[in-house]
Amino acid sequence: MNCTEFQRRLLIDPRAPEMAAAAQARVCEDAPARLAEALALEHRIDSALAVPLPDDLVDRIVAALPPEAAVPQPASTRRWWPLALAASVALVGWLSLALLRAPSPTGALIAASVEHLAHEPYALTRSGRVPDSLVTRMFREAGIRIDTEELALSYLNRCPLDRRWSVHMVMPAAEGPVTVMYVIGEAEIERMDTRKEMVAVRTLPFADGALVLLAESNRDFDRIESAWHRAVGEAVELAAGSD
Amino acid sequence: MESKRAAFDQLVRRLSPDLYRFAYWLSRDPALAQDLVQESFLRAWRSLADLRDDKAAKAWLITIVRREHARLFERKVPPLDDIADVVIEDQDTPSAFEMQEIQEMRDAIGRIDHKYREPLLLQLVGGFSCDEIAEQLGISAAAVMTQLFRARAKLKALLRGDSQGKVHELH
Repeated sequence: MNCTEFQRRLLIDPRAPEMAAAAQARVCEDAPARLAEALALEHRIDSALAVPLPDDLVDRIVAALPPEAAVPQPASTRRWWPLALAASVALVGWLSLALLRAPSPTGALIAASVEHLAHEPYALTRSGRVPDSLVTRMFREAGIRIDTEELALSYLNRCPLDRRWSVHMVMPAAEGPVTVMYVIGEAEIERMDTRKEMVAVRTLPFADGALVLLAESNRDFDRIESAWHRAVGEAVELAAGSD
Repeated sequence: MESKRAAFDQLVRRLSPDLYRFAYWLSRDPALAQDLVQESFLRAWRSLADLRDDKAAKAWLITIVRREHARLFERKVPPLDDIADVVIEDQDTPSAFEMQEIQEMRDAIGRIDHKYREPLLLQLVGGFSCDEIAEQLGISAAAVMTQLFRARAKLKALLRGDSQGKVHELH
């Protein structure tokens, strides 16, 4: 290693063992001083990068992990190829259908929301109430002020949803838990009541985005929708909902 | 199965600090970094069968964070805080002078291009060699070395007060 190469490597990896050897061999007259200076810079970078872990992050991660039974088990290596073949055929079929009939933004959002439910099934099994401060904070980060008085949530998470960010929540209700997804910045959503894959779904424009309600039954949708409108200071009259 | 869950909880506790640091400096947004780390561990838990050995866990999780971040970057994301506005609470209490030096360095790190910052983070937070970074980023080891060289050179230039972070290459 010559002096030029030594200087170049000081900016690539000054902690590499060969750098100390090169400095000792004085490949440049001032190689030891240059190495000391480079290591001091490394120390300063290390100190700057050392951001502390938020206090509750690990606990939140561990608490959000689904139970072990929900984790898919690896398939037997002898049986993988028929499944892969079937999946490929299904995928080709699905893609063909999808190309023939591209869904509307509302249809796409409904499909993505229902699919997302399967990713976080444990969300529906929580019973404790999410602290209001967390709910307020998450919506504040999404640019919305809400009053949480009527919003008793048993689950809260920020989730990617197709090509959007969403706040994924669950609200206990008389007819069973209702999943509420607030989709940030989604402006093209129409009001719609429908069922998809046995799930009752309601979509509506809400605040700066859209709200999606999902449950086995839509009987609690009106009450929950009204609560959300009141939470952001909107007034709305709704017809009574029914299955 | 119970031991798998316990082992994974341990993994979360052990790797969260580095993973969060990596996500924080990659995204430059504390809230997004927390989401990235949480989502990455959830994905890892769902794909536990893909984890060949415990030693590979960090590289595997960092790969997931990178992919999640890249995926989210293509989408609409909440507005990012300006890195200069983010106050980082240090657990130790350095002197005022040290704190000023650290803050200057943080500002400088926040100002270098993502393409230079990412390999630097992989090297200093991830602990990867140039070859391993090359594999992660899908570029040559020579290109990684060039990016690391430019990252440090830009940091030095910014700390000198060169607001553009001009780099003088060595030939």
